[in-house]
Amino acid sequence: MKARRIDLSVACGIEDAMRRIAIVRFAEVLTLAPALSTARARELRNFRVACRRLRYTLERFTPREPSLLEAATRLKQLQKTLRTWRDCQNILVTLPPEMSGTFKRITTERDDALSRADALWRDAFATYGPFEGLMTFTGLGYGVEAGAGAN
Amino acid sequence: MTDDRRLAAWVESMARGEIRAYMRARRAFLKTASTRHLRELRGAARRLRSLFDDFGDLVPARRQKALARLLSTIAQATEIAGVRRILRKRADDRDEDLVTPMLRVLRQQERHWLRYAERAAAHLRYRA
Repeated sequence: MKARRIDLSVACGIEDAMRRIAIVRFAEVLTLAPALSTARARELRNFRVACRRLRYTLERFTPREPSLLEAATRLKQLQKTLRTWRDCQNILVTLPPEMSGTFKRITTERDDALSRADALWRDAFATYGPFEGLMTFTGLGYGVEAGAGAN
Repeated sequence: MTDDRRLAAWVESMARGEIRAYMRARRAFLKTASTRHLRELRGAARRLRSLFDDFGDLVPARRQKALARLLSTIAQATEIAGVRRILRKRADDRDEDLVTPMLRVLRQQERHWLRYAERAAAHLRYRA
């Protein structure tokens, strides 16, 4: 999934450019969040990529806007959990049917990873949660709160 | 200094920093092609691409195709490493005779992609 292009020709200064970029990247993540409930490999991959993109952007901005640090940390946790889901899924599609014990264990780990990712995502929108700073900075994400992944 | 010039100077200094970080990770990986160095190289290359994505208007993306090629070879190697790690950790004892050859094949594939990544990294240099 390609990153959306951001027009900075109209940006008035550093703060404004930072806000414009953060809004676009956060919007990408919010749009793809329903993947957490559909659990389809491609959609989850796109969501993970969008989380990573937003995280890198926020990490670059934290020296000027420290309130974004917590969101970046949460996105890192989310990304790691989704990577575990992806790794498990990759094994499951190649595992021979006679390895039923291993198949069962890895399926459990994969499902746990998805539940953890969903919990991390929902919790991020709580009052004073990790996304508080990001939501204030971008003006996005209000009203998403609990149930975000279930839409 | 006007807002535009201040913004351009800020973006330029970030780009210099990201390029330096990439070149550092690249040197370390080319010296020792280990999984740890590969992960560091992947992070630096992704950050650089993210900078080009975010500030495309102000920093013209350079050598995008080579960067995409490097990232795709790294992704292959790290995906195999992830699969190997989980299979080693979660394999059932009763499946050991099937898991051992699978792990060996995965290790070979990982080495193969590491070599590809080495070649791609050797070709991709930036000047800060």
